[in-house]
Amino acid sequence: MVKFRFFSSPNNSSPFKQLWRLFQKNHFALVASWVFAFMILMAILGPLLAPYSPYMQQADMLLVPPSWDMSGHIQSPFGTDALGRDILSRILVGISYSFGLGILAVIVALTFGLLIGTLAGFSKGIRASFLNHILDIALTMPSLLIAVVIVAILGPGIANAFWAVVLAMLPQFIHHIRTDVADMLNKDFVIAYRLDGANSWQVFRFALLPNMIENIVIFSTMAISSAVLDIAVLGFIGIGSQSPEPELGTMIADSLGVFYLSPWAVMLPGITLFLCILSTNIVGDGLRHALKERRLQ
Amino acid sequence: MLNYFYRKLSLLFFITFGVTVFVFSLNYLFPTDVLSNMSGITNINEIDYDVIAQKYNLNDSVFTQYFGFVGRLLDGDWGVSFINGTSIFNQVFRVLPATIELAIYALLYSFIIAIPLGILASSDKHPWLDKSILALSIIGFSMPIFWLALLLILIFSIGLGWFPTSGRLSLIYNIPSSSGFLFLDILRSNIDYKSEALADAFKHLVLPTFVLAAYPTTVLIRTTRQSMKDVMNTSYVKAAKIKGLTSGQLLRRHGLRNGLLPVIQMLGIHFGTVITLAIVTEVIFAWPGIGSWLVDAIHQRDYPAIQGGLLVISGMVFVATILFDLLYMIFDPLARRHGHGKI
Repeated sequence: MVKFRFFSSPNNSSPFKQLWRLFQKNHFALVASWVFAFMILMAILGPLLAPYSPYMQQADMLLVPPSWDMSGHIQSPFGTDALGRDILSRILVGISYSFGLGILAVIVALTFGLLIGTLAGFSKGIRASFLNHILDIALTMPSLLIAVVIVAILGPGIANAFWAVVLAMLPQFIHHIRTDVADMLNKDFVIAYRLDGANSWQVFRFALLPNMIENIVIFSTMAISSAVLDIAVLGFIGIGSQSPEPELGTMIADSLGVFYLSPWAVMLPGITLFLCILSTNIVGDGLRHALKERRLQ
Repeated sequence: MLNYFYRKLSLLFFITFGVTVFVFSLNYLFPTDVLSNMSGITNINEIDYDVIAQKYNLNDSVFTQYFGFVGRLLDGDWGVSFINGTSIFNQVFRVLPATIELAIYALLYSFIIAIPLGILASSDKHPWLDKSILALSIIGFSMPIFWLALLLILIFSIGLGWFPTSGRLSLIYNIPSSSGFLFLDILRSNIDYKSEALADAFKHLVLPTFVLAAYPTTVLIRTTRQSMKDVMNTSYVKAAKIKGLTSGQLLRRHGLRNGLLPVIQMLGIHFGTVITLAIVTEVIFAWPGIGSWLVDAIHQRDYPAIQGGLLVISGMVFVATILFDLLYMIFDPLARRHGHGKI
């Protein structure tokens, strides 16, 4: 069915611009992307902006409620925890621990996944089938369980939790990129490019990568939310980052003892974590919808 | 079908091999002495060392050690715990039923909630309903499970006092454990306070089930909505509509049968995630299952116990995945065509 449009003009803007225009139409996703950008900014600048050290204990200011409460102080806007540490400073640094490390973990896993996944996608025969079987096993294991296993081997600690999350996400990335590469290698434009005399590197760089990049971005956005969640969960059950560190999950676990007295010490880090994950999920969802719409056009 | 069954069986064999090799290699990966990891005996003295090493084939090649390890696994000799010296095998199978119970109730609950909501969201008649259900599901999807648990405890246990905060059953009830599944045990026991015990067990179950079900529910809502939308747009449904079927008949005869197939597949894919989330839920609600037991073992660096726990949890996840996959294949003949060694 041909649609008649009055003011139609050929759309010559780049695919990314079209994607962004479609993304902007979804207002929820747009607001979420601002929140997401703000959280990234906080992950980078948070430790510099924090008014106090996250480890500094003030013995005369234990369990001060937030400043909007009648008995709160203005010098610590979000109040203090059971050891007199300023919650605002801890949350600011905590964003760079949980959210920042989550993004970093995705970037590291993506780099390795791109390398191994592309090599696997190009390979054929017994090597490919062997890798498939190994990947099948690894993919059945949920990432958090793999992370728990790796932490059990390496021992608790934030650095080990980080590597555990990276290794746990790696199979998904490899699988995703390998299927993409293997699918695309059979497409006509890649075969034409090969017949032009391009070697494998050129095929990857100029034919595959530009076509995969959008899928990779969307997949990575979804992976960020699970990485942040995994780091926080490991911190919460006490086998990730350890107690004085201002990681959001660990902070919640630390304040459980004073849950009745000062619920804000549990609620505020939780809200921050929730906002980080929610904004990431909505942005990922919005991007996916925008991409779907653009492909329909 | 038989061909497919055979393929899955060979995959199961391959997986079992992989998992046992991995768990065996943990003996060498853990920081303590290899013999201690295998046997669970700490501080072995010089005289005993040779005898125990003989029993665990430590002086032979790695292959002999591996086959000895598999033999001991089959015999039920999984070593003893570093902490209390009791048999790991007995400990694991004492705590496992509680986890299975929790996971099954959570999955059932999410099934009951998610599928009607997904079907409601899929219809074009109420766009606002679709939007609000989707928004609810993305919020539930993004909620850190431990935080959700704390919120619910704050509201329903501390604020309103409706449900207890932790445990599986109040300590005043003494239920003899036979199968490990609490409701079954209560029903089978001959006590005169059965109904009170059942009510108490149910009260303890509500919050953990709801928390654990949050994730599968949101996933199922999204899957059901998408697959129902796809099915309702197919030509055979449109043809049936033209023939004059009411929307109820349409849903019963064509929609549900085809639309719920991806849901079975999704259950299989997400069963592993549910089990790991069960670990977190158990830690928060002090539920005496394998998850909190494993986390305790990690805290105490009880390496033989970690091995046993990992073996059972990963084995359970793999077997369940393959079973769900077989179920999917039985119901959906179209999916059998490209069943190449894929989980």
